[in-house]
Order: sequence, then structure tokens, then C-alpha cells
Amino acid sequence: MFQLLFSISTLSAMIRLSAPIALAAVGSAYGHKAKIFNIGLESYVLTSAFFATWGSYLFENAMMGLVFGVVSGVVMSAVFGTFVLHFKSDPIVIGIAMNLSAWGFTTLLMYNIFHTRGSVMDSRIKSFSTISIPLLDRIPFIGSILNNQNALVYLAFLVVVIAQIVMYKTPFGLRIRGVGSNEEAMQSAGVSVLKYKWASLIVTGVLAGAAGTCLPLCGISMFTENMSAGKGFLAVSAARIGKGDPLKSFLACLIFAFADALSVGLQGFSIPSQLVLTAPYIITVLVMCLTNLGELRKESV
Amino acid sequence: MEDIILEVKHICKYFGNLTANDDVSLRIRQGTVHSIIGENGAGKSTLMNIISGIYKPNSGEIYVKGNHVVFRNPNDATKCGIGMVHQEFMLFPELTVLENLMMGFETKKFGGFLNKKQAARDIQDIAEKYGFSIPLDKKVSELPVSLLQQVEIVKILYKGAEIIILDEPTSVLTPQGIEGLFQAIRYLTKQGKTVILITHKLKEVMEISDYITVLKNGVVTGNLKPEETDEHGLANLMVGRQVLFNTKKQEKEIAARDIQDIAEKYGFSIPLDKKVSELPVSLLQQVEIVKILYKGAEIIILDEPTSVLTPQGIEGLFQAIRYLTKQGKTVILITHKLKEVMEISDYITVLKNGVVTGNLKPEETDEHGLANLMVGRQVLFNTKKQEKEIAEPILEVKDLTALGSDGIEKVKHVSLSVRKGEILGIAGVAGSGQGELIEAIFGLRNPENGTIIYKGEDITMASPRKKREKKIGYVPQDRISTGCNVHADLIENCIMGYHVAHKFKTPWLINKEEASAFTHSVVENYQVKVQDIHNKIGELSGGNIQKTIVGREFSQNNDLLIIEDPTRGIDVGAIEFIWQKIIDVAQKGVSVLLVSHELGEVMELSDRILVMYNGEIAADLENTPELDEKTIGLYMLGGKS
Repeated sequence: MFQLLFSISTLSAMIRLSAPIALAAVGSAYGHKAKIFNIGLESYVLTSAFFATWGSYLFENAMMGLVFGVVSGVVMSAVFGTFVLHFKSDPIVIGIAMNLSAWGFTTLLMYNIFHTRGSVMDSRIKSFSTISIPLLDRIPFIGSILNNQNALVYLAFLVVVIAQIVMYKTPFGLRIRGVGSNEEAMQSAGVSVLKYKWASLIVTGVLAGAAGTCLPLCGISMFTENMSAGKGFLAVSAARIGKGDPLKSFLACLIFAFADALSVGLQGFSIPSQLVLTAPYIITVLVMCLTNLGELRKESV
Repeated sequence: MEDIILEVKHICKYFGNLTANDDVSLRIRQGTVHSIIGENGAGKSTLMNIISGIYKPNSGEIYVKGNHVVFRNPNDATKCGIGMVHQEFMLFPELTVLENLMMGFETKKFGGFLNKKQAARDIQDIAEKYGFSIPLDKKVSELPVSLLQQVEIVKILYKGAEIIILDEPTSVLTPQGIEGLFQAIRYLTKQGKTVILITHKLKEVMEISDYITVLKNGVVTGNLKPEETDEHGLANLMVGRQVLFNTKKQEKEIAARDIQDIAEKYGFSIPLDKKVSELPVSLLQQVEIVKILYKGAEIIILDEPTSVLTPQGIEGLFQAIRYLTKQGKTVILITHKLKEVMEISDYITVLKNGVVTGNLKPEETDEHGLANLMVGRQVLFNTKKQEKEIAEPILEVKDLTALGSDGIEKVKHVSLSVRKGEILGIAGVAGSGQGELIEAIFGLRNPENGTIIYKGEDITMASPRKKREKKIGYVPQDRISTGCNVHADLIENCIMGYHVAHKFKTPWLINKEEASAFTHSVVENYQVKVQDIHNKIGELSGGNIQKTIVGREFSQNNDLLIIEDPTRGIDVGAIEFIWQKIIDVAQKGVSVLLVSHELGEVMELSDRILVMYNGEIAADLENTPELDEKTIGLYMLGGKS
């Protein structure tokens, strides 16, 4: 069993499974820094997973799937933003409403467009292909974990790096962090708070859309009902654990993805499968507790 | 004559029915310190927000260096060289100082990346030029308040400000910090910058200003230089207690002669040609007396004449009163200062609840006797400085140690005791552990070590609710975030903390009638200016919020009151009022533990003063008249041990 923990197949699966959570988590990190609590992320991921499938189906092209996915993510963000920023609705209420309706909405669309229930499988749905990076395969162990992953997985890594740079090295990132820190000071600095809150929402939408695209178009080329299955929630948790830092959030994602990968491997053992499947969520709670231990000690009252 | 760098003409600003600024005109000269003073709600902040582009005026014009400008947002004002340091700092606690300074004015490189090195160099140059030294790489949340202020000033200098508006800058500073700030202000003006200072601390105004503008109820009531007036004159302009003295022009000369005659006859000497606003308070009173003599009065009624006077002024007034009576005039004096009554009166009538309770001569009674007649029962007559040794301690803190929020020991083995009816003041530089000490005593922070004994009972670990039930009241330092719920109405705020401990409760629900009756009594007794008790407390001015909180805690028959900075950032009138209330409750036997960062406040009110330095009690001093600020200041800075 211990061998399974760090076997190449588990670690490779971890990298593969981390991609959608990482993309959504980095998006959520931007929202977190701008102090927008976006629990609706789950609905972004699910909706864009469906539209990515549809886009890929319509054009028989994975790239068009990504475009559809990203656009639907941005539209979801626009809905959320309109309610929260302009109608001053409670973000939690809106987020929960969006999460609950997204399941019904995608299932309805699936029935109306594909005339199936449960899942959609069609040869016209094209996935992104895996990429072999030259030289990487020569490195033992690491090479076999990192190489030959799906294109979207590498995209996710790239996004993490770029997001980190944008967050800390550009005026845009500085202003996003400023909005979350002190809105009044932001106004007095002559920067529009609303504009940057919207900007952070758009970033969240784009990245959550890409995350949704990962689910159907990372090889399996199919959409199933409630396909996101809590990936959006995990991403929100990761962003909060990382306190909005893209890199730290990504590290949290790796932990979740590892638990996820492990649960796949552990199904071969005589452990109840339900218990195994809860592993990522139990680990979420544990990680949350551990990262907050330091602060709990500080605020002991 | 210096150039006029900023001029506002006929500014009017309304918020609904409220007139915040009414036809305000102002000229600011380059390279000067121009103070804008006035009570809370006088319209100072509104005016400054208009000048810095946050509000748009309903009418009126702004000229910068002679050019007419219209500000659509703060950026426009910044471009014209106007920068404002707000009372609440406009900083981002999670970001570094450098990032704070760059926000909104980012220096870029490679077409889109932050050029932190360049910005740091530029900022360091500016800071050096104007004599500031700030650490750029530290997070703002790690810096002390005085440094934050420097950061704010450097920030607006970095944005190219020529005119620097400081909104109540001294309210958060220690005496040393204030001195440093003033030096910086002087240095800035020497370099040609212009500083507009908003404050209501008259002493500071007199010390630092070149020009002073006084606002009252949205109207400019005075434009003067410090050498033309004194603190009393300014106070009068701000509060507007004196009556304006006007005679018709054509009769002026004859009147002047008559008045001069009268004044001479009764031994007054008043300058007839000066504006009333330029006169000190004691002279204004003479003006008032001469005024009624001029109108042919035989009986002169003086209503609380001494409340606005200095001791010298009072002596002068009494001489005048003696002289008047010698000349056959009759004087009726209304006062509650018994000492003065005993000194000046021929006859005394005591009123209580609208009924005459005594008619006597001063030689038939003494101050205690009068006090009894006034209050109607035998009371312990305590003046502030009187010894109260007999009283037993009500609160005893032994060897208390507590950690700050950062895990560092902030209170180190502190022992103290508060006796019944005593006002125990705690002085100290901000951050010396006073805040943590109070939180530990009230139960907002768990002590690491030590015991707290209240009325002989160990309450070290008791929760704030338990402590409220045991009649301990608490007026927190931060009235907005700790003292009240700004989104709740006055009723809810008035019963807050007592909704369980004391009545206000039917078995399950809040007793609305009881609660609003109590709120009405607080509003009335504590002169809270509010239209309707269902209004949100956040809509009130700082002084009124503070009065409400003080009223809430003082009206609950508490035996011990823990009070932190009760008068921070509120106007003169409210300060006086709250001080009086504190003295009053102590007279009634309530013990008060007073922590204040205003040394003057501690010295004014306390019977005994503890000085905290670095988490320890550095001194335990009886508040005798000989005790001076310097001695305490030395203890506050750890100079003696």
C-alpha cells in the first residue's frame, strides 16, 4: 500500500487531476484578493464543462471547446457580478443559487441538445491531446510523472506561473490586492474599486471556464451529469488556504489532487469505496485546520 | 505678502436638509500653515472633501493658483497638487509601504511591470528632502501610527502635492509624535509647501498656524492670525456662546461716549472699537455687563458667569460685582459653584426640583450645608483632590500578565487596585500595554497569569457578560468597532450588553417599552443630539455616539467603570460634558478605571495616576497639584524607574 502512495501512476494522476482544480483555484485566488467570496465557482466549472463539450461537439475541435468553456465561465461571472456588485445581493446566497441551478440547467440542456440522460458521449467531441516534451522524458522518475500529460495540464502550470507574476509584479495585481485591502484608500488613490472588482471576476470566470473545459476535454471526451462533482468547492478552499496567493493555492490543489489520485488507487484494496471517495474532502478539512492552527493560537480568547 | 495658492469662493454644500457649508470663502497663502477649526459637524471635513475632490459642491468655485478648477474626482485634485491625509488613514494594511505609495501611480517598466526599484529611489529622495525616514519594505500593518502618518504625507508628496491637507493629524499621536509632526510641518512650509490643518485642539492651532479660519455650523465665523487672539477667543468663535453686540451706525458715536462713561463709572475698561471675536472671554463678559448697564438695568442677573472664566477672570468678575453693589446695583448670581457662592454672596437661596429649600446667609452655613440643601440628603462632599483613604478596594489585580495579539508579552506582572469612588488614571505612550491590560481585566483577552479580584471574588476568567452582571461597565477605546453597532438603531445600542444582565427582557423577547424608555433617558441625560431614537447610531457624529455609549454604561448602576479614551476625537463641548459625567459618577461612589492617551485628561480627572511603560507600572502617583506633565512624561518614556 505504501508503494502505491508514491508510485509513478499515482503521482502522474495527481498532476493530471490537479489541472482543473488549479485553474479554478487561481481564478478564485484573484477573487479572494479582491475580497469577493465566490462560492458560486462550482457552478462556473460545471456550466463551462457542458459548454466546452458542446463547443467541441459543434466544431469537432477541442480549441473551440475551450473557447466555449471560457466564454460560458465569463458569462457566469457576469451574472454573479451583476447581482453582487450592482444589486448588492449577498454573494453567498447568489453563489448557492447558481450552484443549485447549474446542475439542473446543464442536465436540461443536455437532454434538449443531445437527447440523452446521465452522460453524453459522441465521436464528434474532440479532446485536447497529450504532449510529449523533448528532453523531459530523459529525466528518470520526474520525467515519467510530468511528461506526456494533456495540453491543458501544461496550460494550467503556465497559468499558475503567469498569475503569480501578474499578482505581484504588475500594477493590475497591485490594484487587485489593494481593492481587497482597503476600498476607501483605493478610492482616495483615484482607482475605481468597481472596475477592479469586475476585473477580478472576469479573471475568475476565464480561469474557471478553462477549468471546466479540462473535465470533458482532457482525454475522456464525454460529459456527465454534475461532472464538476465539487471541484469548484475544492478550488475555493484551495484559494482560501493559499490566502489568495496563486502559488500557495496551487500547492493546496496538489494536496487535493493527490488525495483524489490516491482514492482511485485505493479502490483496489478492501477499504469501503465510499470512505475512499471522501478522502479529498476530509483532507480539505484537515488542511484548513492545520493552516489555521497558527492563527488560532494567536487569537486565543 | 505670500501668493494665494488656493482660493475657494462661496462654497455651499447640502446633504438633504442639512447645510454642511454655507457660503464658505477661504484664501490659502503659499508656504503657510492654515488651520481650519470648528466643532464636530461644523463642516470642516466637508469643506476639505470638496477641496480634495471627494465631494462636489452645490455651488461655489475653487481656484488653484488663480485658475478656476472643477474637480470631478480625487484624481483631478491630485493633479492640481492637492493631497489630503485623512483622519482614518487611507492605507492598505496587507501591502508593503512601497506598494502603498505606488498604488494608483505605478511606475512601470517593460511596458507593464511594476518598477519597484525606480519608485523606491524616487520615494527615498522625497522622504530625505523633507526629512522623513520610512521603511519601504515593511508591511503597513507592522508600523506604529506615527510612522503611518509619515507614510501618508510622503504618499501625497510623491504624487506631487503642493497643498497638503491634514485632517485631525494629532489625534492618534503621542506628545513626542506631535512634536515630530509639527517639525515636519514647519519644514514642509519652509520648502514652499502649503499645509492646511484641520483640528479642534486649540493649543496646537495657536502653536503651529500662520492663519486660522473658524467654522461654525457651516459658516465661517472668523479669519484671524494666532497673534490676534487666544484660545478663549477661538473657543468662543467655535461654540458661539457670546452674543453679538451691535449698535446702529448713526448712533455709534454718542453711544460710544455713553458707554465709555458707564464703563468708567463701574470700573470696567473695554475697547469699543475691537471686534467682539477678537476679545478674550473675560472681556466679553464685561461687555455683556456694560451692555445691560447701558440699557439702564438696576438688577443684573448673571447666569453661571464663571463657567467660561479662568481663575484670574473670576477674581476680576468678583471685583466688578462688589463694585456694582457698592454703587447701589443689585446682582443676582446663578451658579452651582459653592465656593464662589460662599465668597461673594450676601444672601443665598437654594432651589431643588423647583422648590426653595433654603434661604440663608453665607455666614450661617458652609459648603456642606449648601450641598445638602441642593441634593436633599446627606452626601459625602468630595472635591477631586480630597483623600479617599477610608474606602476599601473594589478591584484588585495581582501579578497580571497578558499577551498581545502578536503573541508577545504586553502586560508584565501588573498589580493595581481601584478603591471605591476613586478615579484611577492610567497614562502611558500608546502601545505600552494599557489596551491589553484593560481587555484582560474586562475579559476580552485571557490573561496568562495573575488574578483579578472584584468585591472579594475571583473573576479572573469570568466572561464579559458575567462581569456586566456583576456591575462592571466598559467604555471601549474604539467606539465605532467595539463600542457600538453602527448599523443598529439607538435603542438597540443603548441596551447592548445589558439586554440580558439587566431587565429589558420579557421571558423570551426584548421589552420594547422598557428599552425605549431607557434610551430616551440616555438621550436626555446625556444630551445626545438625535432626531429619533430609531435612527441608526452610525448616522450620528462621533461626539454623540460617544455620549450614547457613555450614557449606556453610566446609567446602569454599575459599581466599576472601565473607560478607555473617552474623549478621543470629539469636540470641546462633548469632552467637557463627558469629563463632568465621569467626575459625577465617581462622586456617587462608583469606581473608575480610566485609560487615556491624552495625558491632560488623566491629570484632569484622576485621583491617582499609574504610568505604564513597556507593559509595567512605572509609577504610582497621587494626583496632587504639584504633579506636572513633565514628571509623568518622563515615566511614560521609561526615563525613571
